[in-house]
Amino acid sequence: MSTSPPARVPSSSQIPSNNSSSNLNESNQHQQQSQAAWPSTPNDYELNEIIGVGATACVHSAFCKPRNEKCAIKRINLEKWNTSMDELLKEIQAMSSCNHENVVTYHTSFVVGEELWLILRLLEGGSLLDIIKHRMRKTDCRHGVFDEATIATVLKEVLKGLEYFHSNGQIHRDIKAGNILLGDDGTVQIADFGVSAWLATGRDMSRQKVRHTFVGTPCWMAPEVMEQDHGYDFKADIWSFGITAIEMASGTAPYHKYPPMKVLLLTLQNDPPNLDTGADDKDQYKAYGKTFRKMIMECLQKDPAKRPTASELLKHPFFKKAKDKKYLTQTLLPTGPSMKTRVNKAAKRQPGTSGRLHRTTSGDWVWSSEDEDNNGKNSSDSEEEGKPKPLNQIEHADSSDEEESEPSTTTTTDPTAALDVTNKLTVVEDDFRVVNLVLRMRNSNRELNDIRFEYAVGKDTADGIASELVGAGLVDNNDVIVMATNLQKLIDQRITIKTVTFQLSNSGGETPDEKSLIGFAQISITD
Amino acid sequence: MPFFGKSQKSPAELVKALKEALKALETLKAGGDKKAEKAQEDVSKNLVSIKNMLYGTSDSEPQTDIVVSQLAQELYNSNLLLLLIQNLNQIDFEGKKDVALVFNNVLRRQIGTRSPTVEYICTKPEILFTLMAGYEHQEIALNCGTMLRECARYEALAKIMLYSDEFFNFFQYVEVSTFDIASDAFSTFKELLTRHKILCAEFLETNYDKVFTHYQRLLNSENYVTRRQSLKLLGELLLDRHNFTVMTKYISNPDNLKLMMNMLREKSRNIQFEAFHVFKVFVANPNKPKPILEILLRNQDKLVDFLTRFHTERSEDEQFNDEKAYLIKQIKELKPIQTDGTSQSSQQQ
Repeated sequence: MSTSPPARVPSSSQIPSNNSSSNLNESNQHQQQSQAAWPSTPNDYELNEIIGVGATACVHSAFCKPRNEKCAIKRINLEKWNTSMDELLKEIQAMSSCNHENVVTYHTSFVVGEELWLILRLLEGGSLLDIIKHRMRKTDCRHGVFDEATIATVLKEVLKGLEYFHSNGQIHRDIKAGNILLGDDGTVQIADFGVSAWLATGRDMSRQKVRHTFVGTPCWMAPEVMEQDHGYDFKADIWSFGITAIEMASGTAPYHKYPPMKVLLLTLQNDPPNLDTGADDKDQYKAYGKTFRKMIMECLQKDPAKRPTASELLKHPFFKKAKDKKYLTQTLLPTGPSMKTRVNKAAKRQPGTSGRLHRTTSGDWVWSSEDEDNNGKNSSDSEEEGKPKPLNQIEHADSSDEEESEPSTTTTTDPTAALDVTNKLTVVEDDFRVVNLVLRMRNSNRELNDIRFEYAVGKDTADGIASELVGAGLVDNNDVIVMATNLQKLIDQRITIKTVTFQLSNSGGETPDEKSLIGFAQISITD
Repeated sequence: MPFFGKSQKSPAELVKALKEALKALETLKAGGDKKAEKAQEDVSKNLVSIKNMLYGTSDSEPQTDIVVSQLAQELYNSNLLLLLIQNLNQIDFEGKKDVALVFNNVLRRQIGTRSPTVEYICTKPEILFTLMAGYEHQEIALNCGTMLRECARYEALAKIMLYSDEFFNFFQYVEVSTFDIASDAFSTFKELLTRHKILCAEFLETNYDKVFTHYQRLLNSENYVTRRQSLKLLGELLLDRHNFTVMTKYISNPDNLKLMMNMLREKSRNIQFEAFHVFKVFVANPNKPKPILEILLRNQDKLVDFLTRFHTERSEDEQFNDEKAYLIKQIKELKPIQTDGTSQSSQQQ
């Protein structure tokens, strides 16, 4: 597994193999050609530019010197990783138990200081979402982002990955364009196992116990996952796959305009969405044919039992339109952002732009950003350097006479040691003073809303929180800067001012009025 | 439904065919030639058939109990389980996973309250030791881990593993440089030390010195994850009431207290926090031995000061704050020992 080089069998995607077992065998054969194992020391790798930034991690493009091979390195800051380490192990186990052309290729992982480095195959094309967004900026996508052949080609690869995944007893739980990566050669891989789950623990793989945890991203989430009454199974991924199909055509998930809570309501109460759900005009997406629409409809059935399996979907007539991956190198990849653009974007990307809605044990719905604990955009190195050198020694020995002679490493003779510790703790206390805030503004229905949130001084950033609010669908994307600026102002001057009011980019067609908060928003300190 | 389903082969035939293919693979080993490839294919094919017999497929049910019990019997008689594990690194990627699926399924099989496979493995402990040694081989480590943890669920098997010399190899396995293997080994290690409370307590008591000498090395590891994980597990072990004797012994040793006080001041806040949960046991002990009391007394003011400022941002964690307040109170109220030397334990390190 960890020794297998990335599979490159260009012909494989041309074989119309809809049969599951043949797909699985196909992947086995890539195994054999192994060379030196992937090393587990940081010095064997050259870290290059950052190509992605997440909450507790950033992804570098990198080069493995002994193997003379490019790779991607995901650096996870374990100090910021507050979930149990077991969750992390599960994610890695899920990845390492996969060996398939369409599932992200995991090479190895090791600990470097307080970071965990995951060595993965480098997919130069970036995510499908990056490509969609870039294309929407550069060309007129009003009548659709990609043609059917491109969509079919990409989605067929995704399905093959899903089929493998499911046959492995795993559910991905977060299928969306943002989690589909593209290689320079047109390879399509499903990535981000952060929330994937194992079902196959019981006796019977095909009829497993169902899962009862609530994870995923609301717009892509199947109704039964939201409801949580009866649990869910592999079919939840098929729903998300259907939403992803819409995303590839229209550029966004159907309910992307709404805040998470609203998405839940719409998904549960309305008929399943379709290609035209998010459209401005009825005829906007008329270029897409019946077969495509029918495929989407089959995936988006509220009763999971009625949705086809990944294997069944692969036989759907729509995927007859699929071409090989070379086709993608001609149609899809040239329209995506260059590596350089993405690198710049990654560096600028704000924390909080993506997140997950989940239900707590008490039954409350909470939105948690993937970037929650991120207080800086880049890796932890820079921050750590700034801090005073930590002490690994403690004071008890310095007050104990008989222990001074011990060659123990625990002994320190530095009389300032104890003082330093105290200083450090004071800083921490000051650093993380939490300010309780309320943002009052009108929602899309022009009703006044109070959004309460916390700001941990020294830990949160105004930019981060502003993007989090945008990410949660609570604040318009155009207002991210004004929101951040005013939040920053309030935090900086919190001793003297307790509230800020500022104008927003959109007043919903009415005359802006500061007093009644039409086209204005207000942030106040509540404590 | 046809009696033998789609596989056409009976359990006996399947096991025989798999065994032959494995033998061929074993002798051809270095190969890479056509014959070895063929043998590998045969192994994988037969494994899939056996897996389908046990789990069924999307279009067929698992086989009846009679067939499954025939299969199990054949597996025992042919010694195939051991053979599969011994040759695991020769088997292809999906085949390795199938071995684990088959193994775990057969292991879980019950007849009434009996677990025949557990009984069988008790007579073939080599199976367990081969699985444990799997952690030394990167390409099979995680597959072996999956099977080991299933074994560890059964007290009889956990006992064999715990009381073996090989158990102490875990102290190396949990620290290997590859994270996935080290942490897989750690979860097996943890399972063995925590799953069967009474067994674990007995083991820790009888092997206290050896275990904690080794454990000390984990707590002082260069590897951040090893340190953090082993500290967390230590806290869990000491706070489990079954391990009362072990806890009492642990918290009587001033070296252990010093180590925890050092860890309270580690750079990593996660490690500080875990250390707190061990440190609190020393303080909460109503019968503190003299050396422990002395250290606490020597640092009385500093500790109160330190704890007052310790992780103050955890304001929502009520239990933590209560515990912290309790510790501060306890330490403030510490009184020097009377010199008449009455009931205080005078245990030395």
